[in-house]
Amino acid sequence: MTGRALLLERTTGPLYGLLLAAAVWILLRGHNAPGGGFIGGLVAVAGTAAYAMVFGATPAQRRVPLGPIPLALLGAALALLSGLPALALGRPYLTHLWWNLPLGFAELPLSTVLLFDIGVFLAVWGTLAGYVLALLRGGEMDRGGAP
Amino acid sequence: MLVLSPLLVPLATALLIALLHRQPVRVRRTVSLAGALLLAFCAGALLIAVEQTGRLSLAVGGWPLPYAIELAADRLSAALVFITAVLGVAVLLYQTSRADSAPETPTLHPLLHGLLAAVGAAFVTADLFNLYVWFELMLIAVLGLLVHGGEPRQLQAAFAYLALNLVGTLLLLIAVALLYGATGHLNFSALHQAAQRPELAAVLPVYVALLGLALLLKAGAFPLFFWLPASYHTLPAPVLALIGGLLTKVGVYALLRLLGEVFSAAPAVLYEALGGIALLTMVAGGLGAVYHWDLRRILAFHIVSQIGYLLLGIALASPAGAAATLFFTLHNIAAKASLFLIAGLIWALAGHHDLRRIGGLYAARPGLALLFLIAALALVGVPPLSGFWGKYLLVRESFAQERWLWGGAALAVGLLTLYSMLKIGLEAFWKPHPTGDGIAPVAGLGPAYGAVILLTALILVMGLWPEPFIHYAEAAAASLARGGSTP
Amino acid sequence: MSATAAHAPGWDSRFLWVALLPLAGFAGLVWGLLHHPLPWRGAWTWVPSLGVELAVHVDGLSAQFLALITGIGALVCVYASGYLAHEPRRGRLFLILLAFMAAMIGAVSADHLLIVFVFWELTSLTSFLLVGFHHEDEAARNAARQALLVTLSGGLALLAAILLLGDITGSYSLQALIAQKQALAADPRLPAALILLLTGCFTKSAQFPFHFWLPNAMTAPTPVSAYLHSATLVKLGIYLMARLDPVFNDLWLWESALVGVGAFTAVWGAVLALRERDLKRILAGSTISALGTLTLLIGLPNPGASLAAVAFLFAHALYKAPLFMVVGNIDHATGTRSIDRLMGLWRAMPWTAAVAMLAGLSMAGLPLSFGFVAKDLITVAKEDAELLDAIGYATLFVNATAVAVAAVAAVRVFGGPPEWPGERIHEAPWRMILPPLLLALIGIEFEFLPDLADPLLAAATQAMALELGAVDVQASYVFGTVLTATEITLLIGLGLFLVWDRLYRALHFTRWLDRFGPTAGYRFLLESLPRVAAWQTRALQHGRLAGYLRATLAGLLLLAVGAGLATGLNPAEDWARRLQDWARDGGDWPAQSGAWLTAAVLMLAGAAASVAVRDRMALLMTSGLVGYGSAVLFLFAGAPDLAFTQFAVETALVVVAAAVLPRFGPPPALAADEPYWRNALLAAASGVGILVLLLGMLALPPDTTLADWFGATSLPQAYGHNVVNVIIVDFRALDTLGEITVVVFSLLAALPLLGGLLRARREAAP
Repeated sequence: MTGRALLLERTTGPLYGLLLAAAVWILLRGHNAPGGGFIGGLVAVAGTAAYAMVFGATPAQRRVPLGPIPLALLGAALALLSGLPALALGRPYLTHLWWNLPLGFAELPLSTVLLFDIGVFLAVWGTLAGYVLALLRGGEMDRGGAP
Repeated sequence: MLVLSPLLVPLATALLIALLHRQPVRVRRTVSLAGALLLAFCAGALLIAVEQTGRLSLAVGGWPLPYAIELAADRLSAALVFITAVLGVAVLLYQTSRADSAPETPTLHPLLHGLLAAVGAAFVTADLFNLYVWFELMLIAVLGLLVHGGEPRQLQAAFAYLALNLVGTLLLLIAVALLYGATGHLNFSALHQAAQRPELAAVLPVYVALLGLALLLKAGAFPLFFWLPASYHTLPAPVLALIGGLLTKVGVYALLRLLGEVFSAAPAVLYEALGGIALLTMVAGGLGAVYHWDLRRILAFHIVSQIGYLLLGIALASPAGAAATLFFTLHNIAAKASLFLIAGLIWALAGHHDLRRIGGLYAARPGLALLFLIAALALVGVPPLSGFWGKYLLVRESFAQERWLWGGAALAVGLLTLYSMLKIGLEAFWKPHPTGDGIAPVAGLGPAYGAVILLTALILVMGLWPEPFIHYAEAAAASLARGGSTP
Repeated sequence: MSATAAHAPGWDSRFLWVALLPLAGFAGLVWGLLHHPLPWRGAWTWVPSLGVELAVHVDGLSAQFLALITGIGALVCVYASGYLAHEPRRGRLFLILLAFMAAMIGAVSADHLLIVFVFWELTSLTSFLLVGFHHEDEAARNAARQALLVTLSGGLALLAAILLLGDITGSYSLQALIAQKQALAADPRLPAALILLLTGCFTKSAQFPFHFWLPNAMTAPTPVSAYLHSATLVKLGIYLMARLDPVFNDLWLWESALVGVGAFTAVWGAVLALRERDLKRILAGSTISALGTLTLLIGLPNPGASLAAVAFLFAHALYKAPLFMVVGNIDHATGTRSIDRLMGLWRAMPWTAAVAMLAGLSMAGLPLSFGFVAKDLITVAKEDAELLDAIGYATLFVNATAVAVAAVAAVRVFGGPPEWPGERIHEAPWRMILPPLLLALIGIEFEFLPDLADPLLAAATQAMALELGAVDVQASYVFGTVLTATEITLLIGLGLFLVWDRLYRALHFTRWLDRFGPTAGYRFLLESLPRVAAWQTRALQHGRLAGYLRATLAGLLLLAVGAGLATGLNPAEDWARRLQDWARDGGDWPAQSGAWLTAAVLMLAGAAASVAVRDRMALLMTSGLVGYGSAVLFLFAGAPDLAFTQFAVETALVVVAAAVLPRFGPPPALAADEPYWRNALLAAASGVGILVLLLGMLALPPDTTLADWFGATSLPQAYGHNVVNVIIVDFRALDTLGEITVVVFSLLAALPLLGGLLRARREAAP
């Protein structure tokens, strides 16, 4: 293993964490500044892709919570479900609800909008991670790697 | 909230089954069938609710109209959602049999329900861009079903489907963008209002025509139908029945909705052109079917031919024409799907889709022969089956408008249909089996027969007791003509 | 049916009971006729939205048909239970036969034209199933297909006619139609309606040039031929013409079409009979001839002709059905129907021979038979009608041929020395003798007991000739003149019979006519249809994707240009106006035009390069340029979110594709005949088309209602500063839900292509 590769491996782990953190940050700020679930998801995919390129597809897949496809499905399901609470209150589907959760020092605004955006985030991350990992795995197989 | 069910029920079912991918096939099948039954139940309730109130509308997100995305169900939508749900139940029932059913991979049921969701949502949306979104979902779900088996032959078909349909999708998007740019609106009612503005009179018809072209491609009209016969023939029977029954009809529905209601003020020349396209579509589809010997190819071309009839009703640009199109659509979905499912049974029993290599089914399976006879004759338009009334409504209105050519062609093309249905009947059913070993008994076809009988019952009811259907179609057309406002 | 079949143990008498159903119908009819005066009326609603009701109107004409349908139906069922005793699938046949009967009853009793049509088509359909009963035989299949194609084509014409008539009169009731005679005659659409109507009737009743399906339909089992193809089905067209005769009989078109076609059909049918050696086909030819005569009679305007038609219709059914059954018995016993091989059967089959004699008498129109009455009425009617001489001679020939055919069927095959070893030939069982015997006897009896037949004939005639008062059948013909005519006919007929074989050879020359005849026409159509279809398939469905794409695009362009022209959009004018406006305003550039221009140059360069490069990697890069260009555009058009997304998507696409593409191997070289310029032209034209449309849109005053509202509502009501995000997750969240579903489903869809994550997992954990 060359030094350069070693360096890559050393830095990729923290980079992955950093990218995911950035992705979540982009997701959360999206409602008031450029960002949002979609772009956040793209950034997270960049993290997964970087990790997979260095460590291989299978380890990278293990680091995607639940695995790419369930994650994507869960994201879509979350977005779908985020519209349902409104029905309980007799409001139309996807009418977003807001709560200000008092934390003592500040109020944390919680909303079904956030839920929806998280759903978008997970769907994008899961799906694109699925694509990237499958393509990379195909590459590994072509190079005679583990099937 | 009923208005949401055509979208939410199948979508939730699809996601749920996909998440259950580690469960045994039996569990996934059960959830799938349960989801379809729930959809049928909701669709029935929607039908009743619409019948009572005239139109159900929902502004998603609780925002005021026309800013919110509106979902709305009038009689036209409710009827189409209902037949979609019925077809869904039939197809999923069929899938549990051993008659040319699709391989049960974890993605099969999610894709089927995804298609149902897209179709259902397209029927109830009252927003132009939202409609585009559901067309996209349809495209992707069908693509998934096309490559589902993973055979090279299917990949080729899927690629043809994708390449040609993307042209339509792109065109649809451009048309939506142009219409939005010109009118500033996406909501159907708002578009209907905006279309009256005098300053739009010069450009709007062209944009509407462009939109119409995109939808004609989706509907499989001449000369934009190449994608359809190039891809359908590789599908297993239940999937083919669902896609063949529904996909093109959504394009027709959108045309009816947009040309018959939203942009009903479009210049007459557009309807005139549509009539010409309808005639060519009928003939081209009918001739294509004559050429082929593969059951599924014959039936695929008949989809094209029948689309011509549906377009003719829209081209007539009158309530009677719209009513004819709705009635014909309901009939056609049932008859067409029934034939595709029967083709699967034929394949299971006789071992091939090529008519030259099968035979002897009438002697061995008279019940199947009867089911085929009913569906085939309904498609030809022989009374007193459902197709007859559809054709009758169309031709009567054509003649009433003194469009002799349109009406005459609609009648004459029936002969082309008859010719190819006779071909199937004579070759697959009457002719002795060419290899002489006859029809092997196949177990596990019960649910397949059940599904076909369900659809056949619908054909018979629509034929023998057409009154409620015609009455309903006329009421639906009347509300279209009023521009969607509740009476 | 082979001779050995009869020796199989035990006559199976199942299905004999089926005859009770039509018999009950017949009894009910007789009872009704005795107790309730005609017409019988009734109506039940069916499809009120379309004004379709199950209206029944039974008058004399209908009653006559009902009597034939139920009476002969009952006898045919008895006959069939014997004839088909060894046919394992006879249950199906009886079922279809009963369905056919029901359809016939419906067709002749209905008053609503659409109901008539419904039953009309059902009779065609059941006939198709019966003709193809021996479907293992290719000839039977082809005959069935021919019968259905011809009769359903006619059915379509009939439907068109019905729609036209309904449109003209505003009603589908037959009685209302008859009442509106004047209004109909004046309408310009009437000739078209008449031609269509007659086409329908002619196909059904085997009139020239649609007659050819009838001889071929003789592949049906003999009871079917006797019932459908001589007594009932083929008379349905006659029925409808007779029914509508009061409406149209003084129209020139009606009279000339019926008389002309009828006379020609009568002659041609006779020639066809002379050209056959198969007994059944000989009878079929003579049936066509009889149907032609009936059409001719209906076409004649005088009431006497109506009476003659009704009488002849009855007589024909009463002698032709038994003759078919006789042929069936012969076929059953000997296994052949060829008159060359049949001789001297009277000794082995005395009862059948007797039936043949009785029926033959009537067919020949000899005195003492009902056929005699009918023929006489015909002669009288023709003399009244002042026809062309040619038609007079033609009918003489037709009648003479009928005599000859009767002689062939009754004398030739039974007379002479028995050629068949006695033990091989057996007389048919009683169930196959009694029905034809009964029918033939009725044919004779009606002559002796006219009181039985006359009321029905009179009532039927009145239905056809409304102005007629009471009809006295017996007084309607003059015995003297008629006798002379009968003698002449008989003499010529006898002559024809004697030279039958020589005539057969002589008529060989008419075969060259077949190359141009209706049969050839049918075959030509049947063969050219697949050829046209193949041509279209070669031209359209050639299986080359690039071609489909080209055709789709070209079709779109053509239609779009057509739509543009038709709706009056003039892009050139628009362009010129915009340029003028721009020049007048001093050519002000918008503030960010520099950035926009950059974006435009990027995109244009990318697009142009994409067209030029052949290498796939390079193509990927150049098309990426287009994406980045649009991202720049978004950035400076106030949508940083979109720009960001576009950058990310484009980068991901290029990177991933660059990693994957090499595995697909080198790109296929463009074929030498690939019309490069054509593709380029299409692409350029499409681009220009979209540009023109865009320019048209930009010329309009923008409507920003939606955008303004989104901007204004985003913060105060949706609690978000970032309008784009609020639109995505709130205002138009449903679109987003749809889009992420698309994204997720694209992965599900692509799994099989990607080699399958799930498959790998399944293998890991079985």
